[in-house]
Amino acid sequence: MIDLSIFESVDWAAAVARLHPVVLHLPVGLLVALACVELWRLVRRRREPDGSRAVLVFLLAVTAPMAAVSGWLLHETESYGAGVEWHEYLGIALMVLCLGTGLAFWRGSRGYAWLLALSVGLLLPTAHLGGSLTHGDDFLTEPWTEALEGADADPQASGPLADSLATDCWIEVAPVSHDFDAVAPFFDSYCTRCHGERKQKGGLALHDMASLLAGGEDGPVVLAGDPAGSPLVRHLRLPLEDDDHMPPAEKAQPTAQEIEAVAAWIGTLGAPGAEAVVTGDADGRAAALAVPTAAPSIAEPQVAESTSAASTDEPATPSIEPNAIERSASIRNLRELLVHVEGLGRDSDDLAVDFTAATIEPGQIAELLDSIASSVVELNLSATPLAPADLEYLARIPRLERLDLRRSPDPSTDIGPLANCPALTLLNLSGTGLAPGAVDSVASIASLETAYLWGCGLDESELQRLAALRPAVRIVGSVDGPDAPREVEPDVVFVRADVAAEAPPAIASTTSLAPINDICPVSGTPVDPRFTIAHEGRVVGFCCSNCPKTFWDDPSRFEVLPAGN
Amino acid sequence: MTNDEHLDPIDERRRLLTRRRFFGLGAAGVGGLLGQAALGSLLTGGSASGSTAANSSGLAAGPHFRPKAKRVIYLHMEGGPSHLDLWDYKPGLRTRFDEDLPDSIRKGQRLTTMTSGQSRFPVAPSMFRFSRYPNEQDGAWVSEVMPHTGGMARELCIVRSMHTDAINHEPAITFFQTGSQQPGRPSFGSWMSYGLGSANENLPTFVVLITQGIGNMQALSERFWGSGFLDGRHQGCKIRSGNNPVLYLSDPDGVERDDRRRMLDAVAALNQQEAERTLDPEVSTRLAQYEMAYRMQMSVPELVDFSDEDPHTLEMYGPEVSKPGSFAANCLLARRLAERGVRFIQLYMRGWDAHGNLPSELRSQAGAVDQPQAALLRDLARRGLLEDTIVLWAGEFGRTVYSQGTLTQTNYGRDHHPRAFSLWLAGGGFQRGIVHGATDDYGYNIVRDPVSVHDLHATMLNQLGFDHERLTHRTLGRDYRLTDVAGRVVPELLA
Repeated sequence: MIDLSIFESVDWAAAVARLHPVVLHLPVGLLVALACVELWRLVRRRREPDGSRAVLVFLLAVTAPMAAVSGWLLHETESYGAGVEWHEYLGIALMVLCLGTGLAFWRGSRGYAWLLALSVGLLLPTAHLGGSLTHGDDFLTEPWTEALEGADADPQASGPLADSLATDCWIEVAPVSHDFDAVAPFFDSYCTRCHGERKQKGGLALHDMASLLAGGEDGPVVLAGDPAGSPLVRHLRLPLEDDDHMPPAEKAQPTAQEIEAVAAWIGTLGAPGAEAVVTGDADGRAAALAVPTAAPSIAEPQVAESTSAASTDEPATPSIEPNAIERSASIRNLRELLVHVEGLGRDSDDLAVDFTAATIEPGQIAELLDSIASSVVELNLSATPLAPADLEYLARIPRLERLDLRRSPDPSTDIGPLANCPALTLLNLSGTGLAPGAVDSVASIASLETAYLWGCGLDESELQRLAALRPAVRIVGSVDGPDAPREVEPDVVFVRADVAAEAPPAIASTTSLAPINDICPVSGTPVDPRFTIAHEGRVVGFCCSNCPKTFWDDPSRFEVLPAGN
Repeated sequence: MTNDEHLDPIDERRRLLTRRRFFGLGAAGVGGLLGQAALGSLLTGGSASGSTAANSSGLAAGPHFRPKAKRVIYLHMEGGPSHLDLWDYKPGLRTRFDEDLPDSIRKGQRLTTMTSGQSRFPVAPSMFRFSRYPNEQDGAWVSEVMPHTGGMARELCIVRSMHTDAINHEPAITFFQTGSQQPGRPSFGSWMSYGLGSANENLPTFVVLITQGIGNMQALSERFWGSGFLDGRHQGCKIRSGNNPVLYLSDPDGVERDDRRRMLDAVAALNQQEAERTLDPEVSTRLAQYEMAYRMQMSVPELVDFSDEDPHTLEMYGPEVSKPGSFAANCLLARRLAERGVRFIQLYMRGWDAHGNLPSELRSQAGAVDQPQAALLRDLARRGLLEDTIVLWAGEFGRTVYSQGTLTQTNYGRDHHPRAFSLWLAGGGFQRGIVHGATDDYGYNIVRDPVSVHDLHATMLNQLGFDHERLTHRTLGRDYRLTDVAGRVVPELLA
C-alpha cells in the first residue's frame, strides 16, 4: 500500500506556493483569449450568444484566485527582493478585477466590457514585474542591447594588447587587483539575477562589496579569509542535486575553476588590512582591501601604507604599482627573447634570470634587465656574448649573488668590472677564456665565497696565488679523477661455517672469470671477455650478450673448445 | 610582439579583466592577480609552460622557496642492481656460503614466483672484492666492479637503507617514477616541468635517454616518463641515438627550412585568430610547441654533436663515448643537457635483472656504467654544475641475499628484493661523502634510518624548492602529489 504519512509531513503552503509559476499562466491565457474573442466579436459585430465566452469566463474566475493565492503563499514562504510587493498588490488587484469581470458577465452587466479591458490593462504591468523577478528585467532587451554595444567595444579586438595576450600567459600580464571588480563578473553571470540590486532572494545581494559582506537573512555569507567556512562557497560547492546548491540546478552553472577562483578571492580577504573592508566606503569598494602587493622593491612598507590609508579614510591607494606593470612588461619582453625568468620562492621578490636559450647581441643586458635588476639574485649568462659595458652593468646589480659566465664565446673576457660587485658570492667562469689580471679581479670581489675557474686558461701558479690572496674562497680549478682506495679487501674466500675445515681455494675474483675458450660456442666468432658464464665449473666466454641465453637453453648442444684448440 | 608604451596601465587592467580571462586562471591565478603572493608567483615559467600550469591546477608555477638545485640527472638502473655486490658490503657473509637463510631474517616475506618454489634459500655472499674509498666519513666500501665511482665517494651520498613497496619491475619502476605503483600518475620529470617550467625554450624540459643493457633486460614502458593527468607537454621527450634523435623533428624530404617557416607562420596566423576568439591557453600552448619544435630542429643537432668537446673530456668518459646510445655517450649528453638548462634528464641503463649468472652480468653492466658516471660527476663538478644538479643513481629495488637457482663458487643469481637496497645521490645540496642507513648482516632488512621512495621524492623536491605537500594537481575531484599521502624530507641527507 502507499504510505500516506508523506501527506502529513509535507509543507502544504510551500507545495501550493511552488505551483504559482505553473498556475499563473492559466488566467493569463484565459484573459487574453477572452479579450481576443470579445475583440473579434466587436470587429465582426456579432451579437448572437457564444458558448465559448461562458467557458472562458468561468475558467478565468476559477484560476485567477488560484494564481493569486499561490503567489501570495510564495511570497510568504520565500524571500524575494524589491519589486515583489508591487507584483503582489497588482496581482491581487488583477484577481479582484477578474472575479468582477466574471460576475458582470454572469449578470449580463454593461460593466463587463470595461472590467475586461481594465483587467487586460492591469495584466501587462503585473506580468512584467513577475517576469522580471524570475528572469531579470533585461531579459527581453538583452539580445538587442548586446548587439548595440558589441559594435563599438570588443575587448578581444586585435591590437598590441591582444597580440601580447595570445602568446603570453595571463598571470604575468594581469596586474594585481584586490577589489570587488575581481569577482563582480562572476556574481553578475551567475548570481545577481536573484541576488542583486533589484531582487534579493533570501535578503541577499551580491552586486557590490557592501551587500556581499552584509549577507542575507541567514547571516553573513562570506567569512573573510575563510573560503571553506563561507556559506557562499559552501553553497557553490554542494553537488548539483543538493537542495541547497547554488545557483539552482536549472540555472547556468559556474565551472569548478570559477568557484575555486572565488574561494581563493575570499581567502585573500583575510590578509592584513582586510578588516577595514567591513567599514569600507559607500559604494563598497573598500580602499584597504589592498592586500600587500608585489612591491617592486621590498614588500614591508606596503602593508603599513594600506592599513593607514584605511584608518584615515583617505582616498584609495592605487592597487597597482605602475612599476609592477613595467616589470611585468619587461619580464614578458624577456620571455619573448626566450630569456627564462623564475621567481625564487612564493614569498620573495628574488628572481633568477637565465639567458641560456636566448640569442642576444652584446651590449643589450642593461636595457633588458633594467626594470627588474633590483630583484635579480641569480643570473645565468653562460655562452652569451657580452660587451664590456654589460659586465660593468652586472657589477651594479645590487643583490646579485650568483653569476654564471660559463663558456663565454669571447676568448678573452675581461672580468675587471666585476671586482666591484656588491653581493656576489658565487662566480662561475668555467670554460671561459679570461683576459690578464683576472686573478686580481676575482680576488677583489669582497663577498665572494665560491669561484669556478676550470678551463679558464689559468695555470696552477695563478690559482695558488688566488688561494693565497683569498684563503676563505672555495676555488674550483680542476676536479681530481677518482681517488685510489684507502684499503682493499683481500681475496674473496667463501667459507661455510660448518665445513670450514675443507675451505675451498681462494677465488682470485678479478681473474676468475677469464674464459677458457676464445671462440664463442654458439656463433663460432671470437669471444668478448665481457660476456661470460660459469658452466660446470668452467668459465665460458661468448661473443655477445645473446649467445649465453641460447647456450643455457640446452648446453649439451654446444661444444666449448678450450683456448688453443 | 609590440609593447605599446602608451597604454594606460589602469585601462589595460580593466580590459584584461573580462570574466573569461579572469577565471581562465583558476584559483591561484586569482591569488596572483590579487597580489596576495609576491612577484615571484606572477612568473610562471615560460609563455608555454607557466600559464597552463596555473590554469589547470591552481598552481602558480615556480618554486615555493629558494631552491638549492635546479635540475636532476636520474641514472635509472633498470632491473634492480644488486646492492650486495655493489654498495652494501657484507664481509660476514663470506663465512656463511651456502647456508640456509634463517627464518628470523626472512620472516616469511613474500617472494616472487621465480623463487617461491625453491626448496631452500642458500646464502650467496658477493664474490666481488670491496675497497674502502675516502669520503667525508671513515670511508665508503664499494665493490671492485665500480672503481671509478668508488673513487668519487667524496661526492656521493650513499643511502643503504632504501625500501620500496613493489616486488616486480613494472610496479616498482612506476613507483619510483611516479610515486604510485599503478600507472597513470605523472613522472617525476613531468612534475618538475609542471612546477618549474622550462629554463630553455629551445629544448624539452624533460629528456629521456636509454641505453640497452648487457645483462637480462625487462621491458621499458614509455609510460614511465608519461605525464599522467598533467598536460601532455610535460611528458618526457626521448632522444634517440642515430640520425634522428627526436622522432618526426626533421623536415620531410623536399621541405626546406624556409617552407617550414612559412607553413608555421600560416598555421600560427590561424591559431592566433582562434586564440583571440576563445582565449583558450591551449591554443597558445600549441603555438608555442610548434615554435619550440622549429627551434629544436636547430638546437638538437647541436646538442648531440660532440665535436666541440675537448679530447680529454671525451677520454674521461671512456672509449664507449663515441658510440651513440652507449651509457658513456648518454652521460656526456646528460651533461650537455644540464649545461643547457634542461630540468630533468632521465637515463635508463637496462639489464640489471640478474636472476642467474649474476657475477658475469653484473661485471659487464658495471663495466658499462662505472667510468662514464664517475666522469659525469667529475665533469659536472668542475663546471660548477654539480652545485645545483641532483644526480640520482638508483634501481627500482635490490636483490636477495639468497641465490636464485644453483649456487656455486663462481655463479649465482639473485631475485628481486624490495625490503632493503642501496642508491646514491650527488650534488644539488645533498651531503657529500656520507653513507646513510644500514642493513642487517644479510643485507636483507633495514636496521637503521630507513628511507622510503616517498621520502626520497620529498627530499629531492625540497632541494628543488618545493614543499612536496604543496606541489599538487587537481584531477578527478582531488589534489594529487608526487608523494601521494606520504613522504618526509630526510634532513640527514642534506648539507
